[in-house]
Order: sequence, then structure tokens, then C-alpha cells
Amino acid sequence: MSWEELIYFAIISVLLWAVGAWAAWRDKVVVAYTSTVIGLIVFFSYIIMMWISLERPPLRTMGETRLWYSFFLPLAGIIVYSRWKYKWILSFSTVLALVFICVNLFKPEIHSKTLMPALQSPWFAPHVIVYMFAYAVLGASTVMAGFLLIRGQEKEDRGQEILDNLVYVGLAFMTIGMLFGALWAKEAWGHYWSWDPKETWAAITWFAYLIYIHYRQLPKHHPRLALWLLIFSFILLQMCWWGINYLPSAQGSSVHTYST
Amino acid sequence: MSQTSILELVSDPWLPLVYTGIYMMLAGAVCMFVFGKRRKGVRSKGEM
Repeated sequence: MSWEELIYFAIISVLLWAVGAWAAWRDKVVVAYTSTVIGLIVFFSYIIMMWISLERPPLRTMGETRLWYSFFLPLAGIIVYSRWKYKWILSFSTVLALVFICVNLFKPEIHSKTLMPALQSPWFAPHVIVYMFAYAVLGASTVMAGFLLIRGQEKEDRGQEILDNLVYVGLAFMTIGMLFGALWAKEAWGHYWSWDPKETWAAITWFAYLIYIHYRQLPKHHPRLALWLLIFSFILLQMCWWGINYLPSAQGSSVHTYST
Repeated sequence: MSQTSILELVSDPWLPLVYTGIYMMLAGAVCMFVFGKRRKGVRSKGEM
């Protein structure tokens, strides 16, 4: 199994997710569930086969994390759909997943087979997978916030409710990912928090979403500002995810850089 | 390739307390995921 085979799995998965998204609009709930879940199984089987052929979890390079992101978006979509029955959510998640699949197809980052010693740990998979799920959910909340801003529906209760719920789930997973990271760091590096550039940006992102949650609790808050805060938080999240690779301060000094 | 190896011994008397804190935060995160849903009609004061 290699990156060359991704396109076949990707086409089948995206088609199935698209059928699911279409079925959700048409209120064909059973078709929406079945099609999306089969699509997820197809895509996950590609990840598993990559895992087996690489002899390590496919979680090390940006290309590999994008693979998980494409998987978690429709998963988050179907969870939200099952809970709140929003017709548009599956279309959202399908389009976003497609974007990440396309990035992988046209710009794959292929790396060597072995995992560096620091990453050979049972903490590795949970730490990154939990983070990827949080990023996917928070990505969905950002698209939703943009959607509400464009449509001028920032005061709509239903929209606000979805956003708050997405952020709660996203921040919960982000917190778990960060704490797993701390426990792992203590074991691997001797200290749970060393103000590495990636850790600093993770803390900034974490606080940004925490501020959103608390701001929304204020009796007299501005819904529009809350939406912008959410979009801004996601930009900070991008800095943490891949932006720091381009920052001068992180060049060669970040213990989270595994590209060399 | 690096030519030196560094062996470090770390003494951390506060470790049990830090671990207690980390596990409490983990429990908090799990609770936020499970119970944190904002339901329809439940609104904080003044948010009408």
C-alpha cells in the first residue's frame, strides 16, 4: 500500500460521502447514515493498510495527519448529524474532507519508513489522533461561523447553539490531547511542559477557545464579535498546526519538528 | 549525528501533585464532552 493507491480509495469514499450528503438534504436518513459510514470504512481501511505497510502509525508527516483529518471530518459530521439532524452538516464535512484529500493527492509528503526514537511510544497515536479530531471539529465550527457571518444570521439561536456545542467538543478533545502530550513529554523528555514553540502555540490556541466559551457566557456579549473570535482562534490553530514550521524562532529549535 | 550523549537525572518532589492536577483536568475535559452540551431553551441570565 502506498500513496499511489490513495486516489482509488479517495474517489470511492468521497462519492459515498457525497451520496450521504445528498441523502441528508432529501431527508433520506438511513441512506445518509449508511453511505457516510461505508465511505468512512473505505477510507479508514486505506489508513490501516498504510499503517501496516509503513510498520508505524501514519501520523508523522503533514501528509499523514491530513489523512486523519479527511477521515475525522465526515466522522464529526455524522456524529453532529445524528445528534442534531442538520441537513447541511454532511455537505460541509464532505467538501472539507475533499479539500484535504486533494491537497494530499497533489502535494503528498512522502517520508522514510522508520519512526524516530522519540515517536516510538504508545502515547503517539492517542496524542495525535485526539488532536486531529479536535482540529476537525473546530474546523467545522469555523466554517459554520463564517456561514453565519456571511448570511447575517449571527443572532440566530440555533446557529449559536451548534457553534457552542462544536467548540465544547473541540476544546474537550484539545485539552485531552494536550494533557496526553504533557504525560508523554514527562516520560520522554523529563518535563511535561518546556515552552517549545509548538507547545506555546498550543497554549495560545487553547486559551483562545477558552476565551470564546467564557465570552459567550457574558450576559451582554456581541454575537458578531464572538463569531470573529472563533475565526481568529482557528487562524491561531493553523499557526500551531503548521504555521510554526515557517517561523524563524522555531527553525531547528522545536522539539516538535520531525521533518529532518 | 551528535557526538555526545547527555544523561539527565530529574528530581521532582511536586510530581504527585502535578499528576493529580493533570488527571483532574482530564476528568474535566471528559465531563465537558459528555455533559457540556448546550440545550435548547437553556440560556444564561440576561441573554434574551
